[in-house]
Amino acid sequence: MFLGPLEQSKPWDTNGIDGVHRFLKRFWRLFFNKDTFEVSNEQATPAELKILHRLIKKVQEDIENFSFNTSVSAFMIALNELYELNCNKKAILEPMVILISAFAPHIAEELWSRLGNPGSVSFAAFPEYVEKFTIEDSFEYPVSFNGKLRFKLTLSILLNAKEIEAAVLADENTQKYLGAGSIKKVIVVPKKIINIVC
Amino acid sequence: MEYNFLEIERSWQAFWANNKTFKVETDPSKPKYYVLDMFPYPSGAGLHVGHPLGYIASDIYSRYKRLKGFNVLHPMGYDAFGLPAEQYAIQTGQHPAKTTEKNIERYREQLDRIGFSFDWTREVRTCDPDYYKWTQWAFLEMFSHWYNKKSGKAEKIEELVKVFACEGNAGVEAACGDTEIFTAVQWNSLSIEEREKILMEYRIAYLGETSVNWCAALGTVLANDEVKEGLSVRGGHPVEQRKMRQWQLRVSAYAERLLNDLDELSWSDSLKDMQRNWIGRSQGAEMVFRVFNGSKEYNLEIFTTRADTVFGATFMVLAPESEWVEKLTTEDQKVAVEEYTKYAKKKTERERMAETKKVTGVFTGSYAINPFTNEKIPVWISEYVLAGYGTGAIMAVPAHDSRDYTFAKHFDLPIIPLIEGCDISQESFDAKEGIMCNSGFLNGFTVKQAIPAAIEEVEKLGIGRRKVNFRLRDAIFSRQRYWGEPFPIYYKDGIATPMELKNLPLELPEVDKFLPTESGEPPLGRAENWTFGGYPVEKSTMPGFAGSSAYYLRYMDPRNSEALVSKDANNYWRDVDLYIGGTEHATGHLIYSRFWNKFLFDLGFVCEKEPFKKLINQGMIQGRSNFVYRVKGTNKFVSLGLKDKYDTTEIHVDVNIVSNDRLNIDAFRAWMPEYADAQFELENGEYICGWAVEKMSKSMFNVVNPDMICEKLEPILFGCMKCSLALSNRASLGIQTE
Repeated sequence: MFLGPLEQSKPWDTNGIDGVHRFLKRFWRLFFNKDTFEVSNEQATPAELKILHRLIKKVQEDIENFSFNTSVSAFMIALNELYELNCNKKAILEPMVILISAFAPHIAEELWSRLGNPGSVSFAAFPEYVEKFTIEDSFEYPVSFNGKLRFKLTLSILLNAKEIEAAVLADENTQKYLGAGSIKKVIVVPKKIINIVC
Repeated sequence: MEYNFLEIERSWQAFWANNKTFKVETDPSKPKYYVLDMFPYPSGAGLHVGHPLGYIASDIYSRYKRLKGFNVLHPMGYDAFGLPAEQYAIQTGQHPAKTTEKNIERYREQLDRIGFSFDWTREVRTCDPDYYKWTQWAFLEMFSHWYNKKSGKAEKIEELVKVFACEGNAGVEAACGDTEIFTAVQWNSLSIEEREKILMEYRIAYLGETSVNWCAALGTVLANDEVKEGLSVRGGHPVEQRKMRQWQLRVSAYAERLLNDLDELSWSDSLKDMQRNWIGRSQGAEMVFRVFNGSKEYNLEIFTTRADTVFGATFMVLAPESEWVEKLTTEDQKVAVEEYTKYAKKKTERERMAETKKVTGVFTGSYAINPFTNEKIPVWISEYVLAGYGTGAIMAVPAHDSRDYTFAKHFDLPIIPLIEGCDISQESFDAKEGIMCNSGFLNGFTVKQAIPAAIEEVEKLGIGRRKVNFRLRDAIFSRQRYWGEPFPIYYKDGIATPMELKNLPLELPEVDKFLPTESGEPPLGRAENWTFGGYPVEKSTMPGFAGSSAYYLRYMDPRNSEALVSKDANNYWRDVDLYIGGTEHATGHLIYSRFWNKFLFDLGFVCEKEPFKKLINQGMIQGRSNFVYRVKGTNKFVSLGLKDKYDTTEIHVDVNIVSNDRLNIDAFRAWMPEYADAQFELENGEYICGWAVEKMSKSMFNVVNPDMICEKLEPILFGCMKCSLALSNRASLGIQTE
């Protein structure tokens, strides 16, 4: 059987409480505009959905394996990412409230109620993990000239080698690094590298 | 807007309580999930910090399962009978019921402040008469059942009586004590007393002679862990092994099932192994050696798993408390043997098993005949043989058993190797492999072939038979104490007679003092009119594990006054899906509960044969100690970074006056008078303490009261953060875990 951290001996440590405190305060602030409770009803972007669904997957696996501590760090990472995107969308935050309710039930109840839900969050449905939201849809190619890395180019993973070649040739960076030279060959390994021989 | 932790936590805790948010009912439209914590003993010190961390884990899981659409049963209660409350009562006169009630109140307050999602409407307390009614009921059922080995389950004793009356006991295969074969005619001519005496050997709850740790000064039997080096842990009074008539539960009847059913459980391998070793199944042979003490000859029966090694049996050993000791001790050896048995009496079985360095023993003066070699071999007595395992006597094969080897070397007894080419110059060769030699008809066989061949020969010679043996013993169920469940048994003309369900609960009587009587009877001997229909009632009480053996069943239907649990409730909740608690219960509670459940399963009262499907042992919580550094010979303390400049002594400091390794200097001065005028050398205006991870103990001043968690924000999250922080510390320090 899986030996989760729960089964290991561990020292009691009274330090680090500030971390919990800060995390919960930051989570709370996501739902507020200054002193007003305010969440947006806008649709979630793919980037936001990716953060949410990665978290759903991680939390579910962690709880099933009694590895609660790793869930907590996943929450912290997700929170940072949402701050970067300035996300206060209900479509993302409401499922997060449900996710966190197993760990931090008091704050979850309060936010759940402020989101307009009647009763306790305890009987909400656990958000369903949708795999397609977490699949990477683009790749950041390193573009080299004669083996020397010059710049990076983000392209859809759906492109084939020919389309990738066309895209890289059309990029203004290529012209810059090529200068007066002429292209002899373009080597493309999808989802790996692009190398221009000149 | 800032998050106001305290206000919001209090208000939602009140909401949950007022709305009974976590109250559950059976609901066939939803799948069930049963999450259980090992319920605490409400001690005077309040909740230990190890408790809530396990509870936090189970609470997270319960909340998760609710979100997943399960109907979650997550109850809590108290294992409320126990020794500390009784000891406190002896010292102060305060009734244990009062102390317990007060402690429970405090526990409840502490638990509530963490914000658990328990269904408190289902709370149970093992000391509550409405609860222990069902503990007493289960005992009565055990009293009125026997274990039929043919059907492999418990059956009514009335049915057994019918069989005895019609055909005697020759055809009965029972898990039972010593019984002689009798016919129906003989049975029918027996007196009631004689019949009851025989039936007692068959009952699953029975009165029987057993060897116990008796402490005369305390007037009670003590458990193995209450005895150290022949003295009681409490008070340091002498303890001796004594044969006493005690109530026992025939747990051994279930040994095979307890072993086999482990395979189906989602428990850790280490926990399963602990139970397997405790149950200790071994397959071998029972065989008879002829012994004589100079004047008389006897047949001495032994059990061995290595019948293939009979040719190397060069002496025999008896357990010091074996009844054979008296029979086989010759006049010449009498003084030496008496002295030795006196010495051995002072040690508990566990101490004797743990003793591996010191070799002790004494010769009885008698000899046995090795049935394969026909050689005369001496019979010894030694503490390394235990009375309760097998027959309390062994054939010793020093070449192939390490304890026999040590013994033979010490007392200079012959050692005959039986495996070709094995080296026994330094130690015995214990592996069951190789080619046999010095072994008569077994020569040339591999060990694997030799074991069954030897047993066959034993059976052919008519000196023994194949036998499976278990280490698991019956559980001693009597305690000479006050604060436990009374036995619903009275003595009618000396015969133990059961009360009926309608007489239950048999409530604990009042006594003037919580001590044994002047004549050495248990405390219940002080109760006035402790009688039933004019007959005296049993005066001992049940042990701590009685009340905790079926509490998981009671939670399913805690207010039922007609049954331990109704069929409907049991068919819905079935068993515990997830059980969380400490490993200290591996061979106690977790064996007894499984036994209790299997017994009730046999009787059709419960629908699952195992109580706890999945079990997780939460780890131990260690302490994080803090240190200050005193310059030797002064009252000056230097901060951590400066200590190498001086010759200092490291001193443990109370972790409650240290925050983030910074010492609260005023609090330190106030902590102990000797520090009132302490001088400090600081770093950047602060006193930095050193730290280490150690066992949590008062002497290291690193004990954390769980109230501390309650004062933190989102206690549950905090508890689980603790694990994560703790683990990262542990990894970086390479601290040894269990």
